[in-house]
Amino acid sequence: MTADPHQAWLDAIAAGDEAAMRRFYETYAGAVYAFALRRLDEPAEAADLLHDVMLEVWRKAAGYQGRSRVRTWLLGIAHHRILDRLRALGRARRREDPEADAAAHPDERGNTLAAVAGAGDARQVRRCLDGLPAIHRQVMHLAFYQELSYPEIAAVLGCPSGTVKTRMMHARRAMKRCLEAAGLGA
Amino acid sequence: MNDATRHPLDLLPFLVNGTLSAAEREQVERHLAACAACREEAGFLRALKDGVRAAETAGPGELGWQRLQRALRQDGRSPRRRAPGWMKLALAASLGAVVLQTALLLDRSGDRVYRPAGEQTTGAVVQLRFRAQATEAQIRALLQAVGGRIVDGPGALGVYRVQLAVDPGDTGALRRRIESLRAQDAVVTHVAPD
Repeated sequence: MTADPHQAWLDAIAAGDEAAMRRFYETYAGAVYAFALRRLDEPAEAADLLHDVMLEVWRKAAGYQGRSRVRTWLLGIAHHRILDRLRALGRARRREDPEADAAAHPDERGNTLAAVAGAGDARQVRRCLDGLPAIHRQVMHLAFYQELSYPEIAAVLGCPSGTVKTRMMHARRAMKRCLEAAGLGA
Repeated sequence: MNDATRHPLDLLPFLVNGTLSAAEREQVERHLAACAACREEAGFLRALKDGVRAAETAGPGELGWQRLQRALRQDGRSPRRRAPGWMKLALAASLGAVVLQTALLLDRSGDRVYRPAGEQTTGAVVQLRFRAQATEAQIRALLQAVGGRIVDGPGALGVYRVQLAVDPGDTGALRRRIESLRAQDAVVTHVAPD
């Protein structure tokens, strides 16, 4: 794997360089906050989680070994923190679906034009995302917002690549149904 | 089912986000060239990706950084920042002033409304956000009225943690105290159990 260009920041952070920490924060805070918000739902909770994750980076930057991209490593830390927080809040298993395999086929696609119309409306997309089970919302966020590959998403979540693809299929179908309904209703 | 007839729906999201390996991308693009249904599906996923990105909310920004910076500096690991000799002297003098002010503040234990986060606490804690227009005098009066002390905050969104002179096990008393805080809507916008 090619070395991540941001690894130098982590080396500097490990040496106590606050300016490097600021550059790191400015680059990645949005990604960590958005990831946390997708799972925790509460802006204040997501802001606290971002704070805790960045503090962990400050303390443990030397632990980054270059086995993955910095973003993947960072979101892996965030994922574990989110699970800890959900356990503390007593809602770790909120709205999760069984992992039945999706035998999806384009023939099931319904009214794609209506779904595309719905997908152009950010508020409608947010409403549909909020309606997804947490684990499906999470992979959609990691693929489309964080732009991670499916092996990277598997590394962040600590699950097999096949599971990521299955969750993405479920998420895609549910989003399409929801957006179709919105597009047809407009 | 071989590659030519199998619809690669599981890979299409990762074609759209540009993360497939070269071999996978070539396989999927070959299929798309011959499959109108999958091309349509890829179009939907591109629109969905744009929608998901637009739907995300911005983070705490500069306020979040300032909060983190305070924590970094309290973390016991000195940041690597070069400072000239005169600045070190000025810093030492400022630190002395802070220590003195802190000692004076802590000595006024009879009417203090702030308690360092690490200090032993026993009362129930609530989360509280003050109105932007609330004055220091209003906040102090409110805290004194409910026997409250700020033990943490503000967080990135302006939330403070306030310890009340209420036994955490006494849920009835805690509920009444929260109700009385909520009634002060000219000073606070949010009150919730911690």
